Amino acid sequence: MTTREIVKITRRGMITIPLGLRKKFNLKIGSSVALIEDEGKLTLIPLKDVEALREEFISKKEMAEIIDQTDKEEMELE
Amino acid sequence: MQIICIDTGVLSIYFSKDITKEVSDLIDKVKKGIVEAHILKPVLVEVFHHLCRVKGLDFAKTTIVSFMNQVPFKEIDLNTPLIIKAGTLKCQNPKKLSYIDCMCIAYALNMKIPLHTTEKTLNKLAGTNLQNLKTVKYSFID
Repeated sequence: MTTREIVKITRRGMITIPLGLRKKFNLKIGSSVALIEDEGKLTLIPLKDVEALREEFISKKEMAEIIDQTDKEEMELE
Repeated sequence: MQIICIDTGVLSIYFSKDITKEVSDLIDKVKKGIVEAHILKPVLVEVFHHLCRVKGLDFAKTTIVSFMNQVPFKEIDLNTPLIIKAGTLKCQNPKKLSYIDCMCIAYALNMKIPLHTTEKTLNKLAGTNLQNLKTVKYSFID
């Protein structure tokens, strides 16, 4: 499901996130999302426990290389 | 409560698979309210960029917003004294310090708080007040 979903806002300002999207983004009862305003759009960002994301992070060595690379690029731009 | 400033490198270790014990312990102290961490907003932009570069935009958004929601640090805006001191440092060390390094150093000096950093040579740089800079150093290597 990558297309748009239309939902209605209730009197109390609530919306229902369609089941397909809840499954896709692993949104369960009690999950938190952040609402971020972005150039006239309202973006919904699922929040996760940072520790649960840790396995998806890259290693310190790789991170240090990225930092070195971006530092060099920044200095070249200046 | 001790107040500290955290730079991009330390946060980048936090956002690594093999986080060091030192950084893990530091963030635990921040979560428990033992230490008050101040992070400049431009630092968050830089960390977001690093995450985005390797893991994509959606991952960077989720990671940064989750971090901001779960770790009770203080987000720091630029102000006039900070602009002047950071600009002065950049002027004195144009090829050795990035703009964000300058902002972090300037903030730590103005606030008289220690800068928790991965930079190794900050105290050897040009700048009249750098001898006053207190640093706590972290390494990407265990």
